[in-house]
Amino acid sequence: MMPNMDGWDTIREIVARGYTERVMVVMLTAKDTPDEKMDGLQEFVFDYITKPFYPDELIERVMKYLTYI
Amino acid sequence: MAQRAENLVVIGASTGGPLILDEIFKDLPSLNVAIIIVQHIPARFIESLRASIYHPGGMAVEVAEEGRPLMHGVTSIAPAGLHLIIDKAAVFHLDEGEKVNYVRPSIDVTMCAIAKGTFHSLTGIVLTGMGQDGTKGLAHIRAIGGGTIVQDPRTCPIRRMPQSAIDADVVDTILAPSRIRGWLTGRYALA
Repeated sequence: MMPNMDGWDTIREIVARGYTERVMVVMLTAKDTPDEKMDGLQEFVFDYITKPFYPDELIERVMKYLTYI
Repeated sequence: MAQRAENLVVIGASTGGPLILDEIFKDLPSLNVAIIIVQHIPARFIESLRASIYHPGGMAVEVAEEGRPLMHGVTSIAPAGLHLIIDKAAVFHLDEGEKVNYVRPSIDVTMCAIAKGTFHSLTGIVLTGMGQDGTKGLAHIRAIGGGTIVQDPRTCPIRRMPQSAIDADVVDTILAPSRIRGWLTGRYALA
């Protein structure tokens, strides 16, 4: 788990600072289903990958999303 | 020559949607149907999404504009930050109303605004995503005589949106993304 702030707090901070037009978020998480605390953040989260994960799959997805920028 | 739409498929997607849409639209030919995509995504990335799912020889892909009629062979993406409404004449309208299900555009708003009899054939599809957006929309589409499909939750980065619709008993068919492409092609192939 991340210390101090969890992934959702981090995304809220990205949104609060107005970075969402430049930052794409891909979550890599141990939780197979996000809880309801993230309702309202869905448009800012491009993808959601659960552990255990294949590094090659993560790289493939990130490379794909880089073509969006 | 493009034809005003008598057939409509509305696809709703949230987190994880762009790659799933890629999979569905890859090698998808031009079809005898208008397709609408309501994807929760920041405005900055709409054009990238449009370019990503467009393939030469396939469906044309546009960002929906106020007052434009729906056409067969054209996929229209809802612009970020606006609800997308289709009127009884099968013409787009953009709405700055309140967020619904925490989002704008909302899949429910687009699907629920479709009036019975506007289209000869109507299907709602809900893909991967957080929350419950799309469940009420699919219920409405079914109530006015349309068909409902969700992405197989086992193939979803986040299963909650399709699972919500399944739990609400408003789903006709559960399909993996490649099967959704096959379904579209089989149902709406050009003569």
